[in-house]
Amino acid sequence: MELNLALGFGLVTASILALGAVGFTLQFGITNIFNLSFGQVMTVGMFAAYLINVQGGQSLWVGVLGGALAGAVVSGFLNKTVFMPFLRRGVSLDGIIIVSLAVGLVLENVMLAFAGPSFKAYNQPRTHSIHVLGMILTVQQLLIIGISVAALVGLHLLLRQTRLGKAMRATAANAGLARTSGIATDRVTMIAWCLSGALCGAAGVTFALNLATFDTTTGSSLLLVVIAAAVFGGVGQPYGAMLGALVIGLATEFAALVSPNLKEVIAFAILVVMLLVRPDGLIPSAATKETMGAR
Amino acid sequence: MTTAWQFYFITLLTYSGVNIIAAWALNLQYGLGGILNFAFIIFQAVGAYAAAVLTLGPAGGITTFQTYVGGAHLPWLLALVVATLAGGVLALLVGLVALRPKRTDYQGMVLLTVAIIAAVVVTDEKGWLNGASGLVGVPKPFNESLGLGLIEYGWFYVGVVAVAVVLVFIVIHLLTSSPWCRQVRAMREDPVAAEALGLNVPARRLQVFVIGGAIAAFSGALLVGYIGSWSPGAWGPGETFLLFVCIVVGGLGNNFGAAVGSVLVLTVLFNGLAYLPIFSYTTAAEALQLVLLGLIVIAFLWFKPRGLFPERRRRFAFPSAGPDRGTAVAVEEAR
Amino acid sequence: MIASESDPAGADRRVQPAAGILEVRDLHKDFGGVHALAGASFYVEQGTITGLIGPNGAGKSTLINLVSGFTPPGSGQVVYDGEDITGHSAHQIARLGLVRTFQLSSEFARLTVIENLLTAVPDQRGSTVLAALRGKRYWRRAEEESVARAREFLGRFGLTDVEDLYGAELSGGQKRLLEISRALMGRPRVLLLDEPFAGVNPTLAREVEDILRALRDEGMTIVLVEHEMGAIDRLCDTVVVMAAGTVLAEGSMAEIRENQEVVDAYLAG
Ligand SMILES: Nc1ncnc2c1ncn2[C@@H]1O[C@H](COP(=O)(O)OP(=O)(O)O)[C@@H](O)[C@H]1O
Ligand SMILES: [Mg+2]
Repeated sequence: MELNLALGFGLVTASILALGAVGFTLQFGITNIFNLSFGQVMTVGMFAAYLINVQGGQSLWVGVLGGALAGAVVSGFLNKTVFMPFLRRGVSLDGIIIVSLAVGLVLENVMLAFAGPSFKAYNQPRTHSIHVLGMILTVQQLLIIGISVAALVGLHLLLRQTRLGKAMRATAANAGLARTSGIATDRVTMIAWCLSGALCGAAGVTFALNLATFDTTTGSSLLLVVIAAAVFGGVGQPYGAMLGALVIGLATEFAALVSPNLKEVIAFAILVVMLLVRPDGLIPSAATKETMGAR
Repeated sequence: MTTAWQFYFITLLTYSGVNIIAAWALNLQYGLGGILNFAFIIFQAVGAYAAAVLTLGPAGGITTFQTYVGGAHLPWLLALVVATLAGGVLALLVGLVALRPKRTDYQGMVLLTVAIIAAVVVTDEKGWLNGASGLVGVPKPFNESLGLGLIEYGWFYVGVVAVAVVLVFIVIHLLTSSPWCRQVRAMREDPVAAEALGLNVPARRLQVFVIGGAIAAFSGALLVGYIGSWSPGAWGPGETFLLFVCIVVGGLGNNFGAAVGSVLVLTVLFNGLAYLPIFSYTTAAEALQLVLLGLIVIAFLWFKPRGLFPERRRRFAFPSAGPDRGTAVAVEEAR
Repeated sequence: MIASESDPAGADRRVQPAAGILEVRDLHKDFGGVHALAGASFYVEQGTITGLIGPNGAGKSTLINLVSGFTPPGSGQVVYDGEDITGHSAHQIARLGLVRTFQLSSEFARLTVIENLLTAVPDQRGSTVLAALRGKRYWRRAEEESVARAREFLGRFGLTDVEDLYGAELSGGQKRLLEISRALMGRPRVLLLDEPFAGVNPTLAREVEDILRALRDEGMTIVLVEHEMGAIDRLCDTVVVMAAGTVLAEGSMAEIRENQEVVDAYLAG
C-alpha cells in the first residue's frame, strides 16, 4: 500500500524533475553553458502563474501555460542580452557560470523586492483522489504527469521529426560544422534557450503546485535536484535527463518512506555512486569526449 | 568612540580578517587552480563546527538545550588545529568524488550539489550539530584566563585574527610563489597539455583542493570564536558566491587583489552597511543590495574580467656578473 | 643537452622481446561505430625519425593518443623500451620519457613562454607542496639551472625575444615551436609530434627540421605526423603509411613511393 503510494508520488516528482532536467540539459547541450539562473527562471514561472491564477482569476492550467511562456521569454531575453554577448566576447565557460549565478541573484532579489518574503499559494480547485493501478493521486498530480509526458513527447518529436530538431542536434554535436553546413546556429541556439526556459517555467509551476506553497527561493532549491538528475543522465543528453529524473524522482520518494529527511540524502548518494562509476554521467556528451584528450 | 562604534569596528575588522583568509583560499582553488569550488563555504562551516564542538564540551551538562556529536573541552589552539585538519579531510573526501569529472564546470556543478545537500542534511539531522538552530554559547578563546572587559576582549580578538592573517599569508605566499604553483597554473590553463608533460593533474587538483579546504576551515574556526554561534543560516551557497565576487573584483590569481576584493565587497559594501549601528536593515534593502552585487559582478566580468589587480606576469632576471648573482627566480611585476 | 641515458626497466617487467624502442601491436579502437584503429602494428628504432602519414581520418591522431595514454585502447599492446605501457595513464607515460605534442596548439595561455617551458621540468625542486613550503632558498638554485636550460631551448627555437610574453600572445607558428621546446624540457627519449609544422611558415619549418635532425643525431627517437611530403622526405628514416585504421605500408620514403597501394590510398583518400 505504502509502496504504491510512494510510486505514485515518485512518478509525480519524476515528471516535474524531467521537465526541469530536460530544460536544463537542452540549452547546455547546445551552448555548453551551465546556466545556474534557470532556478530563478523557474521561480519567474511560478510567479507568472500566480499572477494569472490568483490575481487574474484564471484557471491554474492557463497559469501553467503562462509560466512556461514567461520562462521562455525571460530565458530568451537573458540569452540575447547577457549570455550570447559574453560568449561572443570569449569569456570562458567557467566565467559564464559565475555570470549566470549573478543573473540568478539579480532575478531572485528583484522578485524579493517586489513580492516580499512571504509564501504564496495558488487557488487550487478542491479535487478528489483517484485510484490508478493501486496508486492514489489527486487530479492535479495526474495532470502534472500528463503535462510532463505531453511536453517531453512533443520535444522528442521536435528533435527527431522536424528540420528544426535536426538542426538542433547538429548544432549540439558540432556547432562549427553545423554553421559551415548552412545551419543558422544563432537562431537554433535562441530557440533552444526559449524551449529550455519554457520547460523550466513549467517545471517551476508544477513543482509549486505539488508543494502547495512557494516563495522567491523555491526555484533555486528545485534546481539542485534538477541538476542531480541532469548530471546523472550525462549533461547535454535529453534522454539521459529523463532517465535521471525518473531514477531520482522514484528513489527520493521511496526513501521518504523510511524517513522524510532521507529524500535529499538519497539524491546525493545516487549522484556520488554515479560519479564513482561513471564520472561523466550515464551518457557522456560529445563535448566531454572532446576534452578527453583526443585532439 | 562610543561603545557601539567600537563594536562596529571590532566586528568589521574581525570579519575582514576572516574574509581575507577565505578569499586567499578560494583564490588558490579557483584563481590559480581553476577549480570551481561552489562548495567552498562548507569547508569554512566544518571548521567552525569543529572548533565549536571541541571547545563547548560534551553535549548534555549545562548545554542540554543543544545536541551535537564530538563534544570536548580542548584548549582553543588545539581545537583550531583539529578544525583545520577537519577541513582538509573533508576536502579530501569531497574532492575524491567531486573532482572525478574531467570538465571543471562539471565539477563545479557537483560541488554545488554537495554544498546544498550538506546544508539540508545538517539542518535535518538535529542530533549531529543541533540542526537549524545551530550551536550557541561557543566559549570565547582565552576569555576566561584573560578576564578582559567586552570591548577590550574585542580588540584582543582583532589582534588574534591579525596574527592568523599573517600566518596564512606566509603559507599562501610560499605556495603561490613556488614552482608548485606554476604547475598548478599550467593545469588551470590546459589540464590535458599538463598531463602530457607528466603532471599528475588529478592528484595536483586534489592537493589544491585539500589545502584550500583546510585554510577555509581555519577561517571558519576563527569566525566562530568571535561570533560564538554557528548555524546553517551562516553558510548557505550564497556565501560562496560572495567570495567569488571578491576574487573576481579583486583579480583572479592575485593574492593582493583577493584581499582588496574581499575588503571592498564584503567589508565595505556588505558588512559595512549591514552592521552600521545607525539604521535597521529591511528585506527590501537587503534585496537591493544583492541586486547591486549581482550587477557589479556582471559589470566586472564584462568591463574588467581580470579584476582590479590582474594576475602578475612573472619575469626571470638574467644572472648578472655583479654581486647580485643568483636572482634568476621569478620577479612578480604588475602590468 | 638531451639526456638519453639508457635506463633498462626492471627485467621482470619486460615483455616479449620488442623490436625497437617503441612498438605497437595490433591496436584497435572504436568510437561508437567508427573503427578509428583496426589492427595497427609497427615499430620504431631508437635514434630514428619515423613519419606517420595517411589521409585525414586514417587514425594517426588516435594512434598517438593511444600510445601516449590519452585514449584507453580497445585492444592491442604498446611496448616502450621493453615495457608494456598499454593502459598506463598519460602522465606516467610522459614521465617514462615518451612525450607528445598535440595537433591543436595547447600552450598555457596565461603563463609566459619561459614559464611554459619550466612547467615541463620533471621533478623540479619546489614542485611539491612540502618543498614549496620550505621557501625560495630551498629551490632557488635548481630553478636557476632550469631557467638557464630553458633559455638554451628558447635560443635554439628563436623564442628568446618573446620569453616574457604570455603563451596567448604568440603567433600560431611560435606556439608550435613553444610546444616542441616545452616537450623537450622534459628530457624525453621518444618524441611524438602530431602535425608539428601546421601553421609554421616554410622558412621556420626548415629550421625546425634542422633541430629535429640534430636531436635525432643526439640519440632521440622521433615519431611525427605530417602532411607535407617534402618534409617527410627530408626528415624521415622510416615512413609508416596508415589508412582506415591500419598500417598500409612501412619502409623508407623511396620504397613507399614505389608502392602502388599507397599511391591509390592517397588518390582515393
Ligand atoms: N574522440 C572521438 N570520438 C569519435 N570519433 C573519433 C574520435 N577521435 C577520432 N575519431 C574518429 O576516428 C577516425 C580517425 O581519426 P583521427 O585519428 O583523428 O585521424 P587522423 O589524425 O589520421 O586524421 C575519424 O573517423 C574520426 O572521426
Ligand atoms: Mg590528426
